[in-house]
Amino acid sequence: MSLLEPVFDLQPITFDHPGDELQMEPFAMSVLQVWLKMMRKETFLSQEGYFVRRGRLASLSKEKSLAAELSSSKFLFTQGFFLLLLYNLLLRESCCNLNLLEALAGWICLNVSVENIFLGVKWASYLLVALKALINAELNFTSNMKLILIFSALFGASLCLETFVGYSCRFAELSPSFSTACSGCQQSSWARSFCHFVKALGWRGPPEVFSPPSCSEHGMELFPLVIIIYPYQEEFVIFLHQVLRIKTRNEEEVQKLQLLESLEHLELDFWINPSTPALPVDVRIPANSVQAVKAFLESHGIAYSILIEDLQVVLDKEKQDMAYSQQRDRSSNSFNYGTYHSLDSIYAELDHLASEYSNIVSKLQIGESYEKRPLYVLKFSTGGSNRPAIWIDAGIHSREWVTQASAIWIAKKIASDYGKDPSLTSLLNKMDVFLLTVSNPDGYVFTHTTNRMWRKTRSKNQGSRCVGVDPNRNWDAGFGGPGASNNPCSDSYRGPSANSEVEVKSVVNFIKNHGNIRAFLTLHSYSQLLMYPYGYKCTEPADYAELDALGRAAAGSIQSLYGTTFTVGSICTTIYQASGGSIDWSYDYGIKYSFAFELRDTGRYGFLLPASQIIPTAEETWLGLKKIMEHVRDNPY
Amino acid sequence: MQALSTAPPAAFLLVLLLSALLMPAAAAPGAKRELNPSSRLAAGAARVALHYLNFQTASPGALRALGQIRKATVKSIPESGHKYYLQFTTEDYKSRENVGSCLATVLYPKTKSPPAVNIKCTYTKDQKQIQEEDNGVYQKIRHQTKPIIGNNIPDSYGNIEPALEPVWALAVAGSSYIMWEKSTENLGYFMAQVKSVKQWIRKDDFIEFDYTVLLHEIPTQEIISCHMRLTWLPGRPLKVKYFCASENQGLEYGSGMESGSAAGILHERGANF
Repeated sequence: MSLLEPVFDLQPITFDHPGDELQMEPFAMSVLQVWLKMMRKETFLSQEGYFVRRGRLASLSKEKSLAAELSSSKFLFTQGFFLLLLYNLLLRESCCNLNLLEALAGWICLNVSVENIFLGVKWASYLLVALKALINAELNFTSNMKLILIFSALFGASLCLETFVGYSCRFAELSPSFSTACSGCQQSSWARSFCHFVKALGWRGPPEVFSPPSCSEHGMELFPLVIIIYPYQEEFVIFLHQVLRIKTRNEEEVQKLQLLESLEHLELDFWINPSTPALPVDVRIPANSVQAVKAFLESHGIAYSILIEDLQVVLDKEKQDMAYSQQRDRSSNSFNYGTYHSLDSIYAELDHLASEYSNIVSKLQIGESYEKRPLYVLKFSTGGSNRPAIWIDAGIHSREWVTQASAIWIAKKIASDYGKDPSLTSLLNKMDVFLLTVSNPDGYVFTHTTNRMWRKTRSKNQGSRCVGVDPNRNWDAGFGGPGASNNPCSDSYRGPSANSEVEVKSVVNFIKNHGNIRAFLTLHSYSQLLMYPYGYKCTEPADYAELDALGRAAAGSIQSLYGTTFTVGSICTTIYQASGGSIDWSYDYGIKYSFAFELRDTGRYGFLLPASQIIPTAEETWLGLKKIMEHVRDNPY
Repeated sequence: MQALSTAPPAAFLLVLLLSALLMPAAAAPGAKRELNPSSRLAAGAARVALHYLNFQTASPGALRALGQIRKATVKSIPESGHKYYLQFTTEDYKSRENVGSCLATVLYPKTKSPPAVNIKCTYTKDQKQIQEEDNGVYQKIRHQTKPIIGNNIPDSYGNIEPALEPVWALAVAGSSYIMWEKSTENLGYFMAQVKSVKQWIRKDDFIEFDYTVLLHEIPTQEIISCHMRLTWLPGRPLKVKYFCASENQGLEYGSGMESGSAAGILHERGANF
């Protein structure tokens, strides 16, 4: 067999855990297989030799020669393997990239065993691995690796010393068999007791038939395994890529999970971070960390369950529904949710939704913009009178096009999912949803006709040539404070007074008149953030713990779809201090569940998000919104 | 004899390995204040470090964006400023796949000078491949018969014409210089759009572009228009000259690698958009 040729027809090696399969390069696999076969054969033969030694001298010589052959060929083979391993290690480190210490170690080993070049090579490779692991600051051993290393180190040590002891004992006593070596060992009591210890391990002693075994043959036989596994430890692919839901019972368990979170080499992906024992912790574990994490949890008595099946069902259903509704879309009307639309086009679709789903959707006008464009809100309701309601708005900053686009998709989603999605159905059976898809229609039109980067309203400012007020600095929450400009030309101009902008005033009036709004959710872009109050001050709101936990849960739901990560925190700590913001007003007004979303992306395209990302953004945002809405439904106040 | 000669190295190795495993990680105490990785200060500092890196790398194929911040600490250095120590992952600017992690320090000086950045990153992409990509881009641009011109990249709908993508990438690299210079502890930037680009054909090997880029400034939310002259040769540092005019406040003299030209002042008024 050519040493450099991969052998593809060998089965993967299975270890003790059924289901775990060791994935390795075919070459290393084949080498390991042959080596193991030889080991097994040799052990068998050594036992044979031992028994044979008892009586039948006639066959001894035959066994001896055969075993000796096998032994020496195995020896040679092992040495050859280590040469290759060294070669492999060098190559892996982009050739010959040894630092001074390692080169020195190699040179020492070669000289130490000058009579046996293979041994020298082997020791060089051992030391190289050990040194590399030590010198490398990121000692990246998985817990499996650690166990194997410790175990083999101990076993090797014991065998090594045993051989040494036995050998020296034998020499001293000239006793042929190991069974008497211990008692006959006059050298020291520690040698004797060690001898007994090793015997207790089950080691039958070195066969007399071969040349006295060296440490490297028997004592260190497990080290090759270690050396083989080390470069490949990342490739211990266990195909179960799992998501676990961990239920913590107390602070101590939360802290243990936070410790787990900090172990970066595990590459854990916490959808819900461990923060309080009240909320479960959802974590996605890459395939090769699953065993380690589960072992950690079990050893600390932390209960967990596997979540992935649930998620898979959800994802499949979502995809199914999307395909179904898209199909229906194509047949019934031509509104393409995957592109950006003009204001007129969006308004036409609002009418279409209200008529197609007239049993639950109705369109209300809550006011007019500065330039007299209607402000339309979709009401999703299954009846009742003045039920507790959830408010969602989008597009308050006109250049954030993905928000208006997502809002209209979400409108469609809510309308079409009623009666199909049990969670949404139960929600709408208890509560209403109000959705303002375009909060700033004047600005939106301006971004289409004149300036794509326009943010504010289009109201004229007295005494200034500059137009417009930042509608999200105009609310009555810390108005006039830091984080908003008093310069009309600024993009964060707060306006002459709170609620001076008719777009803002209309929403305030609506909410006050309704009187039963339970959640206020607003969509912005970009930055991928999920924020709760406050923005006008950097102190925590009274409901900080609950809002933070809920925010993290929602961010986890968002991430579950496409892996998009949202940072969760208060406005002030996460983005900047900003006074006069909408969710600060709604929170201080008494609407506890006030959240602001900043949707995709994180700055590459920014406001100019490609249309191809509209539907994925809307889909994931919807999951986050739904999470919050479900919580609102289940926690009336 | 073999046993005796090999026992010492074996014991040595065992000691080495066991001690390595049993050695606890030493926690280094310091006078630093740990920041929440999701805080805006940490994110801002990481972005500044990446602006600096993207400019220094001068390779449109190797642009990086911020992934996740793993660790952030800040230290107040008297007479100097605030120094941030960051550990974060990065993603490829275009494909969003993870391309490695970085360790960076960012010192925001008390004086009006650009932040001092020290950054070291791992890179999982193949360097040779990136170089080849850059060379390919360079050759294609060099062999243009007519100078490249373009407007609104990406357009209002987020589209970038495939042929103009490298031009956009170069703009990102060049703007990174501007954004790095202008960043402070409380002001951060993103490149929002290339408003216009025009190629200047040169007689030597360098490629030269004249850009008007829009920068999005946070937290003020302003859109800053900057005029940028960029020269590039693969493997060489980028040369950037610029000056920026704020859309709402008239001309604001920004410093560049060389001072802004005295001949003619570009004045884009907000109303003209």
